[in-house]
Amino acid sequence: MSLGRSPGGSRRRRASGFRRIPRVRSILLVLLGFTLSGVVGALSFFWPTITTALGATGHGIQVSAPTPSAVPGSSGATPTTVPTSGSPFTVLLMGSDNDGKFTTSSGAPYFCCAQSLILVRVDPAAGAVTMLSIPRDLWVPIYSASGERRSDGKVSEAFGDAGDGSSGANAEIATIEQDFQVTIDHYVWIGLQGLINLIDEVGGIDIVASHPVMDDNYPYDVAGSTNPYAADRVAVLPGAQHLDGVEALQYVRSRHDDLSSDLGRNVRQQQVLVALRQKLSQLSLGDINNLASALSGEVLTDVPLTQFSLLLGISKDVGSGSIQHVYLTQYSPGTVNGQDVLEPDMSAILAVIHQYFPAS
Amino acid sequence: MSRSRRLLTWTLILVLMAAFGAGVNRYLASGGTTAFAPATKKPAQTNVRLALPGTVYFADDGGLFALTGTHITQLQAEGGGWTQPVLIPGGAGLLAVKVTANYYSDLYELNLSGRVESQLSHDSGKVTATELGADDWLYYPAVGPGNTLYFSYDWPKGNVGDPAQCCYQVDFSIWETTLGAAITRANVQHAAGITQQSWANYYTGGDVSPVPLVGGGLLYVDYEEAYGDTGQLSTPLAGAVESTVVSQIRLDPKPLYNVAGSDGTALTQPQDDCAQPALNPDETEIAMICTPVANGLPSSTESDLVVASFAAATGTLGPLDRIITGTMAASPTWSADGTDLIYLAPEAGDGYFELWYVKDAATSLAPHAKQVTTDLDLDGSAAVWTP
Repeated sequence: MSLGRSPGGSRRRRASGFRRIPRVRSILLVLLGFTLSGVVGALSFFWPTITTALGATGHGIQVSAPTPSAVPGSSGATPTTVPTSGSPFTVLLMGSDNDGKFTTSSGAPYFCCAQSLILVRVDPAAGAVTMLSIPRDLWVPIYSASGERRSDGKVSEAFGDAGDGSSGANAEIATIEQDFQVTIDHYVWIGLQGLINLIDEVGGIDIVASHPVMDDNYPYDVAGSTNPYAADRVAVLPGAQHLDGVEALQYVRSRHDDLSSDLGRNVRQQQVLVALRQKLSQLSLGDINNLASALSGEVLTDVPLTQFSLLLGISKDVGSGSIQHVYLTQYSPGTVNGQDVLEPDMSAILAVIHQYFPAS
Repeated sequence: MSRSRRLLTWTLILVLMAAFGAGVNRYLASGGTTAFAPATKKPAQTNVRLALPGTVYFADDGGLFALTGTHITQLQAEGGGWTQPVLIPGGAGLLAVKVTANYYSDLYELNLSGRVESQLSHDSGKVTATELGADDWLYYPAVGPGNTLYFSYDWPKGNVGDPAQCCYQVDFSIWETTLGAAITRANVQHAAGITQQSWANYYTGGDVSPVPLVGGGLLYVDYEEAYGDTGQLSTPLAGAVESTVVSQIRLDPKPLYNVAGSDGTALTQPQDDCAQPALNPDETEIAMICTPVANGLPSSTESDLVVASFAAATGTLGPLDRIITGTMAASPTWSADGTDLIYLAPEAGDGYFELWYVKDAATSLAPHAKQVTTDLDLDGSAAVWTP
């Protein structure tokens, strides 16, 4: 039986229904459409950032609990802790070679040590940041990521012993947590080229160099060099200096003509980090994509993507005058198996660590 | 409204939505929201907030520029490696250093329009690409009475020049010659018309910033080692064993000239960590940069602009008056009449170094700095300020 709906009648009803959309609902629909369109447009722009971030983050800390009595071979993992708003947290910053320019006896890429180790404690409630540099040549027990004591070595070597970046970061964290009795909440690792790219991306950094940094044997092993043993000349003069990425790396890495040796480098590393933070404090939405591209494959972190802006935002609330710079100097030069090392006075070092990095 | 009209309206709205999404994408991609890209301008394009009397010659990003009033003229293009311009006495021209990055630097004479008149040094000595130690750095030119030229030169150095200090020692010592004499390593090494005036402390960076006095004598900056446990500086932390590098401004009086190992007289103390001296024309005031020292280490985030009275006849320096603090000041220069100062310091907010001005720097009870340039990113060396 016909329902008596002619095509024309159906069209009328549809047209009539179309017409009956309330004006308010129509306006909301249009606004929603524009919003969705804008979000899709923005998402397509930030897609490289999202993919880079997904690749760089989520490498959670998986090390044994930082107790001196950790059971060798234990595989117990400490879950990554996301700092709650207002609570202090500690981040380990690591910088190292990552290009595998050296090979093992079997020809496999050999990832060297963490050239730079800086513990950063952020106390949002107090608006304070503490940066503590750990000399790379301190001779300490080395631990694997699983908490197994391997051997004694330079503290920076834990990273390379593990074989690759992510495992290396975990081994380095395990070693520092065990040896220095500190809890590390997060880590950020960046390669040499990543630091260059990052500083270039923010337009360079500005510092006042306090004394000439001279080097006729600076390792020329980045920026297109194909010879891992090539050398370069460096001369950063005292005074106002605008440094691009390569120059900033030279400034923080050079040590041959500095009688302060690693201490001098540690001071310069913290100085560059503060200058970089100054530039990053101007970060805007449109810069994120380029930063992500610059850091692609050059950064690893366990900081959850959703927390990164929180961490950066917290740090921006702290003026550079609120940053406390601490350098470990409680050691004496020594030689182990022909290597120049720094033999630590661990009781004195732990006193400093406990002072500036109290247990939460 | 007819159906076709409504259909057209909604189609148009859908097209606008799609265009809006694409627009958001393009806006983000265009850099319209970036903070970093447009951070600085070329000097000749920037606005100058404050007109200074006379002309200021300065280096920026490897180029040389002249600031007159509020107008900046380019003398040598950016990227050329130019730095450290100084005035030849009498205002006949400029001396400036040209850096070949990562290898060597040479001294040139230019006229006041920036045209190169002559190359005074030849510091590229390497034959093979890896022979880095054969190259030399020359910086900090200064011309004194009788057209005597002073400069810092990285000789002797351990890898080739001083086997006793093999192999990484590369420090500046101050040398003296006559303006116009040929400067090569061979001439330096064999003292052929070139005389060593200071002897660097090894692995410190050495001696820099020579400032000749009209009546003879030489101010300069000496970098040296200060131990945490000798009482020179407070110990950084309990049990500290490391030493650090600090600077002192020294006066090498005329009788000590050419005496090997002479250090002259220290005008400032290690814990003041003072450098970058600028002497006013009548030699009664020294402006300098001093770094606050805390826990045995110089600050890496603050450097103060300091003024002190100076008596050349007795070689004595008055109390240090820190007139600008809480910033990263650098490279002071006196005005021709010796009353006002210009210096470099970061612009608030973005950290880029700009030119700043202090009126009556030595006499004002409340010195106040005014920003001269904007949107630049100056670096490297002190400016030259001519009448």
